[in-house]
Amino acid sequence: MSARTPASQPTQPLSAAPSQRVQLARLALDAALGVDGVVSSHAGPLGTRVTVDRKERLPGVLATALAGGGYGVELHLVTEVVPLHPLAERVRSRVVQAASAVGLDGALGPVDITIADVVGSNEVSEG
Amino acid sequence: MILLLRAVARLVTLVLLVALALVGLAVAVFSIQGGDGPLSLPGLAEHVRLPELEDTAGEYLDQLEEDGPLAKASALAGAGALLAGILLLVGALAPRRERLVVFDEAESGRLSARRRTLAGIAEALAEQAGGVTEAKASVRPRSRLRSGRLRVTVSHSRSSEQSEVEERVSNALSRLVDSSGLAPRVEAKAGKRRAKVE
Repeated sequence: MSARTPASQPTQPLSAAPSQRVQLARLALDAALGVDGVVSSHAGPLGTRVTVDRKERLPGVLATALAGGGYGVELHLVTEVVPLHPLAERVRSRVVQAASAVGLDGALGPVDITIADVVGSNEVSEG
Repeated sequence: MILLLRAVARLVTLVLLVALALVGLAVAVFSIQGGDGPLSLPGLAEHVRLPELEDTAGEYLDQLEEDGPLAKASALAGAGALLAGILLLVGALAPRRERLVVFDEAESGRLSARRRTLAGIAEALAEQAGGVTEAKASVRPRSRLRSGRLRVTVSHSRSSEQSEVEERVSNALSRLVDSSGLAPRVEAKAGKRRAKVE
């Protein structure tokens, strides 16, 4: 008996498409970096806070499967000297919007934000 | 520093476990025969030259009882071994996860910051207070047993009053303290004679 792929299902091999976990990590990172006040992401002192895809590494973001389904997202960010609570709200809101736009809002769990470093406006313009 | 100690502690653990396994294997193999056979424990003692080692250690201990360079070198080596042991214990027992200061935790997620980052923010805020010439901050996150604490030590110009400077620094830190839930402790001391407010 041979395993057959029904015609109604996509014939694209599984290995070609990034997993939902990686998609969520990428969109969360892109959304966070687009928020005013966020300078960059931070992979941690040992460079371990990364999501690794087959071809790329996404520094400063981790998407972890949750026991109840979906994925929790952890963002490690370098920010400017701005009020942190409003900044975190803006980042979360942008991540949720980005996930909704590609139909992944159902898979998105809590978005944890860690401020890994803060830089002054001079450092941002110099960098 | 802790990262280095942790790596060294892991390496030493691996080497010791391998050595222990090899010693255990040797003892097991040399327990096959009894008496004075080649695969007996006395045979193993002969192979590793235990009798000669006993003589050497005896001579060394005799020399150690007398005053001299050997006694000093041995005392130094003992102190070094003690220090190395303490450092290895620190490397082995130091917490693996970085302790973060949690600002806010809800269903939508958690907002936290690294201790060093918060200390940097606190120093920057404290240095904006009038009369402050230098600020140093340290953060201790909240744990099960203790509440979190933000300790800020500032130097001030001699023309400023200590209590006024402490109040100004406390005001400058108030938003950070309110949002982080850290208990502040501000200490001000007069700076050096030529210290100026930047």
